[in-house]
Amino acid sequence: MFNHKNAPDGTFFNFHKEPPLVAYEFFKLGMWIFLATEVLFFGGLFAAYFILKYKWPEVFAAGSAYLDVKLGATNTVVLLASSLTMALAVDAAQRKNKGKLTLMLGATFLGACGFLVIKGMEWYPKLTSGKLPGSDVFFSVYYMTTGLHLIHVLIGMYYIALMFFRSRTGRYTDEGASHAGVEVGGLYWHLVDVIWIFLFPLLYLLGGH
Amino acid sequence: MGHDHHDDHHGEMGHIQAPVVYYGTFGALIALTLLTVFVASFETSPLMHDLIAMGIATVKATLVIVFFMHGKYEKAETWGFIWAPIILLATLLGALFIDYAGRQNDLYIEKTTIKELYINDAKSILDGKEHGGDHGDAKKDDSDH
Amino acid sequence: MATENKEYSPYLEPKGFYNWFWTVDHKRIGLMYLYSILFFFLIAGLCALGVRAELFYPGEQIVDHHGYNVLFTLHGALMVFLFIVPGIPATLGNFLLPLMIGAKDVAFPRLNILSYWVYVLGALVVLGSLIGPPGSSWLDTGWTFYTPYSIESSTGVIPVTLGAFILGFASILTGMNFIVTIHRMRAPGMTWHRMPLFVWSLYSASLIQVLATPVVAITLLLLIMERLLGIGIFSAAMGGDPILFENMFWFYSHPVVYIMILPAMGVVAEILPVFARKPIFGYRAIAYSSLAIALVSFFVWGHHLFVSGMSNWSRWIFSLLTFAVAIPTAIKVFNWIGTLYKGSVSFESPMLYACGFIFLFTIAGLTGLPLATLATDVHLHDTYFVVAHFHYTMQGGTVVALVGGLHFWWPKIYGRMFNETVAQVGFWTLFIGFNATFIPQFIMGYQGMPRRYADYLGEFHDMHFLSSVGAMINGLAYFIIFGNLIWAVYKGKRASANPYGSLSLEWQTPSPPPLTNFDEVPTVTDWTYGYGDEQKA
Repeated sequence: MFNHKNAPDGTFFNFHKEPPLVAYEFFKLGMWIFLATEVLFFGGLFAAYFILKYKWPEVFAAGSAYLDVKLGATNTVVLLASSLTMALAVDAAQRKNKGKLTLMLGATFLGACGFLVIKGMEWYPKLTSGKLPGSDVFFSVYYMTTGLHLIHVLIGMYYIALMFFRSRTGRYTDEGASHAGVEVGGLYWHLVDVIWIFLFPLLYLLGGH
Repeated sequence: MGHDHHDDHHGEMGHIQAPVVYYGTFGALIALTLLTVFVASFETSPLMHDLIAMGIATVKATLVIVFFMHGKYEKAETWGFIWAPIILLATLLGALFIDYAGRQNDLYIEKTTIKELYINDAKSILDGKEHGGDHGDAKKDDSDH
Repeated sequence: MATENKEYSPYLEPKGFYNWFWTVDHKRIGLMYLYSILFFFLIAGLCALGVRAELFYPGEQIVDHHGYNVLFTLHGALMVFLFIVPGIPATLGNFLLPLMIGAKDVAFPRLNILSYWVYVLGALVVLGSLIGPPGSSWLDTGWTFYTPYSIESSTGVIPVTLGAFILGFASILTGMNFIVTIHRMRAPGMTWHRMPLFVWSLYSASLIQVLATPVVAITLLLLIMERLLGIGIFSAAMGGDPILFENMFWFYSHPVVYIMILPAMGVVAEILPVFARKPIFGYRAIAYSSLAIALVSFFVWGHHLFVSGMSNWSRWIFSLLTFAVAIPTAIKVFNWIGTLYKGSVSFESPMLYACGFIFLFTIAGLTGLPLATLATDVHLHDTYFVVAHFHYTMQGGTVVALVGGLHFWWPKIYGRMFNETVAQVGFWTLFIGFNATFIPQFIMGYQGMPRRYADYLGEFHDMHFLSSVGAMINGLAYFIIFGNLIWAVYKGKRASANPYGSLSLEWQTPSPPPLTNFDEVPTVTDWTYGYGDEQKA
């Protein structure tokens, strides 16, 4: 019933030794699945957000009014820009353009740094003026969501820095090399962006502005 | 957002898009960000406010997924893993709302029932009826319905 | 059989801690998972025996009330998070999945070993809660960590929830790995509809692992933050909502019971046709009912909240949806029985376990219906009826299938046969002990005995006594069973490559398999269950 022959289509392999295409296909599906878990991870927080807002609309309106829309909007633009440069980095990797890949990864990293700085400018005055996690349900949700998002940004920055140094060795752009690493790094970074796209209006634009 | 077929290359590893697609997407994302800030200043009901904000955010997220993340070149397999968490999240949120909105409804019923009982009791005391008279009143109320 | 090749070396060969702990071979990782989960099965099982020993007689005999709470909490938490969730997928699944689809390994071998290390780390963190005086620091909230008690309890909630959070990553990594493996690494000719049903069930369970675990991760994280920073999201005093915790917790923890049972169903579907010498009945119905169960499992969590103050609307919606689980489950049971019908059945020990599974699991499923019914659930909720019900699924279902699967694949894993007579004695001891433990619990639960109580009224004494005697027999059975299996590893007869005459791919390679699984790439030309054809030939 089973006849043992060599596979013509290369579906039988250890992918570390197989053509880059295979690794590419593996990594990408794996990353999309991982992103699904991320969406649900933040989804639990969104559930808490909506339920608590439903219970305490006035607390949420007051808390949201306390936030700085300008800083939030600026941060949104900064993160969107870093998403653009990341998309361009993947594009450069696909075109095997090593110089542009390194440049774009560097730009993405700078964008992430900018996001961190603005986030710090937002958090610092709040933390010093007693708006702490636990001071009311809005600020608990605010710090949990933005804090967890921040952790994801930091993880992303670590990986972007790693790709930045790797890209300079030609690891992604040499003949026969796989750029799967850049592609999945890009997917992750865009998801961080997507989550922020939802967090921004939910937290900053609730009214009172 | 028509992409340039000249540049659209079915490579082994992913599809190469014309760079103009990325810039166009970015422009749209910025425009939508400004729009959502602008629209948020309008006076609407809280529900409407949330729906508009979430609607715009969904459009933005879709743009990112389709163009930045190359979602438009992905197979149904991948889209399955995009839709699955969204559907499950909608289920969680929907079920929570049915629960919380419904709970208020349950309380409402209890409150009115208690209030009616209380009023009936008060009435029967004012009318100076005996204790057994309550039943008669209740029956009368029922037959009125 | 290409067994006696000159350079054939079984995967077990290079021994030593270093060779095993840093391996990326799926077979070794599966075995390491097996040793680990069995270790925790032993500890958690001893806790259960402690609980039952205390309940021999009413009043306080062995442990005080806090000690009793600690025992059942440890039993539940270790069994759920450390034993039964990784139970079948990470052990038999890891070992068999690549073999069954004709691959050399899983898609991400290094993530696979990372998953095991993360599991060990999580287990150590959970055990870290046991550092400190038992009286004040051992967890006593029950494995569900319900708020508000878990916020207020002075015991080690943080290490256990943090451990469960970490274990979630191990679960997600395994699930993701399996999904990519099944999508991308099937041997030539191994189409979706030729895959063994165990692989289908692993696929469904992996989907749940990947999609449900993140929600409990964030829930437990919020609980930890609640205790560390007092964020108040689950605390009614601060404007939060304790029922939200129950909702989010069960959004994971109900689907998770299908992570436990689906691979068990897959094991049974593998064993039945081999010992009935008949093709599996209703292949596609069984395969798709696995997916259907995975799907429906996400929409029924509310039945755990029927008496928690949930709204009436939610109650009847969730009650209705819960009944829907019965449909795909019953489809499976009928198809298994259809497989046995007119087969030439031989009751060797794996088959005994498979049939035992069908019997016990059917009881488990049918006793779930009164719990799904709103009116009866109000009476039965949080009684021993519930305890008996889920032990029939968890132990009568998953553990019986795991043990049956271990018997079935033991010759493949170690290349040695166990003693058949002892295995059969072990099965019957388990079967009798198990039923003696839990049938009385159905009865006293129906009579109103609440669960999680250290003490009880005299009128429940007969049933509690019977249940405790059963539990001791049940515990004894595992020593017979695993004693026999461990004996086989060292002293058992050498097994041939395919001692049961199975047609599945994993039996077409030597026992134990070589490191690369197959000498040559297998090409699949037919489905796995063509048992009728082979008799004609």
